[in-house]
Formats: sequence, structure tokens, C-alpha cells
Amino acid sequence: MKTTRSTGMALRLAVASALTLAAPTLFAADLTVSVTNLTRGTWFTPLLVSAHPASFKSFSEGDAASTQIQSVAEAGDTSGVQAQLPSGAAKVIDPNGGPLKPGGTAASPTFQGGAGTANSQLTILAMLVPTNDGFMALNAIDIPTTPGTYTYNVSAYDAGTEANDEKAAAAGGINQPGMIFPAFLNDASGKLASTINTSATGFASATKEGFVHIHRGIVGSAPGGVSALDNTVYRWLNPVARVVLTVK
Amino acid sequence: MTHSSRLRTPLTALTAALLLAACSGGGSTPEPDIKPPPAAPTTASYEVTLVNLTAGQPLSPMVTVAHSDGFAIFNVGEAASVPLEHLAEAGESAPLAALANDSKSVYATAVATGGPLLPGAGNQATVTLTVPVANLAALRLSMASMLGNTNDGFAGLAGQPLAALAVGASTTVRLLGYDAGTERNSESADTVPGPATANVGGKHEGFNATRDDVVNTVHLHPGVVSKDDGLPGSALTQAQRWDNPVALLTIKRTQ
Repeated sequence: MKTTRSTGMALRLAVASALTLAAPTLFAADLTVSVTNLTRGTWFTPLLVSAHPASFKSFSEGDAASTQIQSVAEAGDTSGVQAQLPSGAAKVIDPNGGPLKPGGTAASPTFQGGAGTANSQLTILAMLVPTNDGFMALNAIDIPTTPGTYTYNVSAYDAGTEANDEKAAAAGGINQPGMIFPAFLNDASGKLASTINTSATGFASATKEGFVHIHRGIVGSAPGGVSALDNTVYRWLNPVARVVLTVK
Repeated sequence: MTHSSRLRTPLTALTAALLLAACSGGGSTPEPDIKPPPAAPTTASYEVTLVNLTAGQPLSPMVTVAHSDGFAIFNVGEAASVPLEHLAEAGESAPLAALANDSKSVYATAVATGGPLLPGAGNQATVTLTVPVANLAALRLSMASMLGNTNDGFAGLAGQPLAALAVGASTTVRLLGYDAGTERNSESADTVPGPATANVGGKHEGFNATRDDVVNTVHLHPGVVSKDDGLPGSALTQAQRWDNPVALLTIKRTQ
């Protein structure tokens, strides 16, 4: 997959879903997932869905994030995690054909994994926008071996790689303080939503935590306040996503 | 399909404001909603019990619906029905119960009695749903109950499958708080009907047909901000904040 760095985001807005399958075995299960964004005003960057061996895990809660997870959480760029996946892993990249809006549902094409394959676990990743380094993750769960429909409520994590200062970033990419505001946050007139204040000073006391943890949420402010984000629009509570996995 | 097992007149005499402001202290009294109880094993019965897990949110009398795939009490990302708007903004259960009763995909509907379910003190609300055994394979449970000290928040469950629940077995679901998306979350005493705004002036309005929220779709509730956390005009305090889950719903198949 190509990544576009000009805006600091790896958003494949116009790229159709790409599906890469591992070599199937005779007993491979057909899998599909749907991902619903449960939040009020927070977007998901293009999703990475993968069935992979149990030997792989993109992050461990409580540990420092890899650069690849930092890239997901700060820039929405999943290419690094894609490159880390074992060669036989099944990948569904950007099933929504772009970022997933609040209330939206992305449905994957059929891919294979689970019973009878080496790809016994499922990972789903996407950045939450606007956040400093928030991401949603279904983190290497065991794929059920019994055919059926399984529902998971998915929490937002904080990668711990950037201070949650809730102010506008001066530039995109990782290792840049502040939040990015991609064009999909614009309102109908094409301007950045009026509920985002790019001149807000941010929380000066915020520091990066250094380890992956459950995101404590957006603080936000009333208009004109310290945070760039309106506290009646951009807060959320976990879970931020619902994943429905169908195993056939 | 049995229409006889539905509760037809839930709480019609009480206003939402009264329901939410009432503070009986004793909580809800478990009470079967169906009479007479079915005697033959041609029906299955489910005892549904709600426990409030919040610190400061009364839960309005829950509407519970046993149904097949053809009915949905809400869908995340889609606009709320007007009956759900009545429940989420005012705690009015009757319109949503009537909507369910009008659906051919609904097997049974029950509404909790005894007023709002307050947190603590061992309080719980229980209803019973009875459905024909012939419908078990497709059976799902949905419920909704207003978070009383909000603009349009509710504890909800949409389409929990029940087919696998054996007689005598039970399952407990951790309920999430949803926002109906039908009213702006101003948290003002004019717009929040619950007891938290009772003594600070304002209109405490329940239902209002205007839809003025950020999005006109059902989504996971972001929680109340409150005046203690920086929302000018909010009549709420830190005491009305919550985290998920907001309630426990235990479903026991008794027959």
C-alpha cells in the first residue's frame, strides 16, 4: 500500500479496499468483521484488520509502544504494523475505503483464519481523530473455532507516546506535539469544524506517559478554553467501537 | 405469535417528571407483568432483572422487548425513533412499549413498575417476558431505560440473542449508556427532567420534538460534562457522572 506523507497522515482516502490472503488450508474458516464507530464526534483512520499467528502481537498493554504503534496512534499510519505481520498473515487494509465516521460501520470482505490455519488470532487497529495518540484496538484475540457470530466491545488505548495536550499540532507525523486535524473533520462548508479551536493553548502540564494504557478520554473545554476540542462534542467513554466477527 | 402476553397499559397515569423526581426510597418491586401465568410448556419465560450501577443517575422504568430480527429498539448510527426519543428525553415508557406492540416481529413486551430505579440500597427492577417455544430459535431481547439526569441518555441493549439460554440458566449483560442524539447535551435545568435539577429553577422539560444535537443518530453516550468539569450552563455536578457499564441486566429463563 502507498502511504501519503504530505499531510503527515497516511490516509488512503480514495484507495479501494485491498485484501491480501494467506495461503488457505483445507480447513480454513471464512471470516468477516464489521467495525462500528460508537462515538459521538470522533473518527477512525483507515482500519487494519489481520488474522495472524499467535506469535504476533502489535503491542502489549502496560509496555512501551513500538514505533509502528506510535505511527498508528499519532498519524493513523498502519503501514509499519503491516510490514511487521508474519508473511502468512491475512490482511484487510482500509475496508471502509477511507476514514470511518462517527456512527459509521465498515464491513470487511471475507478473509481466512481461525480453525485449521496458522492465523489463529485477530488484530484490528485504527487511530482516533481528534486525539494526540489515541487508538482503538482489538489486540490479538483468539478467533473462535466454532462457527457463529461474535460481538466485541472495543476500547480506546493511549499509546503513551505523546502528551495529551489537546492543542493543534504544528506539523504532522510522529514525534510532533499536538493533534492533527485532517480534512475529514471539516464541516459542510469545507472549513475545520467550529467546535475545534486551533488557537487553544492546550494543557501545559501534559506529558507523554511512556506505556500503552486505556485512554482516559478527551477533557475538552467550553469554547475559548484551554483545549482545542469542544467538551460537548469530542468526549467519549469506552467502548468506542463494536466489532462483530462472523466465523463460517 | 401471542399478543396476549403483552403489557398494554404501562404507566399511563404518571408523568415522566413525577417518575424521575419520585424518591420512594424502596426502589422497584419485582412484579410479574403477565397474568395469568402460562401453564403449559408451550411457552418459555424469562425473568429480567436490572441493577443500577451509576452513582447519580435514576433509571426510568425499563422497557423490555422479546423479538426476532424484524424489530430493533435502536441501531447505532441511525436516527432514534420518536418513541425512543420519548423514553430518552422524558423517561416515558408507554410510546416505546406501544411501538413494540405494533410490530409483528415482537413476541412480548414488559415495562418495569415501581417508578425510577435509584442507585444503591439493593434496588432492582424485575419484569417477566413469556414467549412461545416455537419462537425460541429467533429470540432476542432488547431494553431501554432513561438515565434520568441527562438530556437524552439511556441504558440500552439491542437484540441480545437468547436462543441458547436453557431452562434454569441465566446470563448477565453489562449495559452501556447511549445518547439518543435527539437533544443537545446542554445539561441545563430547563432540559434535564431528573431530580438533580429539581431545586435549581428551570423548566425540567422532558420530551421536545426538536432535534438539535450534534448528530441526529444514536451513539455511545460521552458522559455528562457537568458544571464541575467546565460546562457553562450545566445544572449537573460531578455526582451525575458515570462510566460504563451503567447497569447490569440479568436474564434468567425460568420456564
